[in-house]
Amino acid sequence: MPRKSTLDWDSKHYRQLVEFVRHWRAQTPESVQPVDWRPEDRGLQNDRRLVELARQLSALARDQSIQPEDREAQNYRQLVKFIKRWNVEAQDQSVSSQQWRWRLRWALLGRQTLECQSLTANQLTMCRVNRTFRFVSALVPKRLADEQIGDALELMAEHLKRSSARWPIYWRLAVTIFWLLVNALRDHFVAMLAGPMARKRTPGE
Amino acid sequence: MDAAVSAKAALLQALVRGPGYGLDLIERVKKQTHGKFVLGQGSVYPALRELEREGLLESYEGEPLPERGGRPRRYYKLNALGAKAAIEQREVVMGLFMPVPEVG
Repeated sequence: MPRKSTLDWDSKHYRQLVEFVRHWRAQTPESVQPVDWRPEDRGLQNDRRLVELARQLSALARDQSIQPEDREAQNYRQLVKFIKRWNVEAQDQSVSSQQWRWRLRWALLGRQTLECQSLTANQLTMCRVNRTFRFVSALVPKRLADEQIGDALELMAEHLKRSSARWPIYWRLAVTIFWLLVNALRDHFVAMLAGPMARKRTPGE
Repeated sequence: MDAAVSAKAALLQALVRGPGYGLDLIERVKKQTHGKFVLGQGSVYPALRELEREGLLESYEGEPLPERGGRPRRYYKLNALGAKAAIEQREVVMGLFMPVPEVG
């Protein structure tokens, strides 16, 4: 019975990465390419395939001449960031294949997720807070969002300098969102009511 | 002390000391009243906008700051009308605490 591939969970991503690396290798002199890349070798153990792919990505990240475009550029930036952040050295044999697998999984996740995954507890909290605020700020006028969310973030940053407790951060997040929405609604109704009244007051009417 | 001063009145007095943004103004009022009057998020921003609509304040955006997630601060400052209103308001409040002249 053939061994079940452990790459099935994201084989689509794996294929994308393989395509990306293949594209890059086609444009790069062989002398700077890492050897041992056999993406089509079905006989190769999955762990080995991942290590080889990671080596390619690591080399790719070091090559400053590569300027990928559009969708590739986003993936590429994520990978470069990921590799730099974790100081990934594909030649480092002390990194187990299991670790490689997780590192690659992180690399495959979205940029936000990747940033959040590799931060300290406090930074992780702020990352979640920022993400929530980004979502909420899309629902309210920019001026309100800039003012209230900005002030709340300042308060949170001050708090984190003094204390490591995170519940006040989440409390502040909830309170800010509540008042932001209330104030947005209030402004909306004030503008709605002021509209007809302002028209009545217009001279000559 | 909740009902002694309105948010708008407190903000006008805080702005007499110079331009400030929401969080800064909350702190100013808190300090000026020795922590006895604390403006909340629910009252300070609508009050500031109302004062601006009434033509007593002017506002402008500062530089985007990283600690604010790249968002700029919005500074408020008193204009001539606002400064006059703040002084009048102070005189009214101070007048309340002046000793009442005895009649006859």
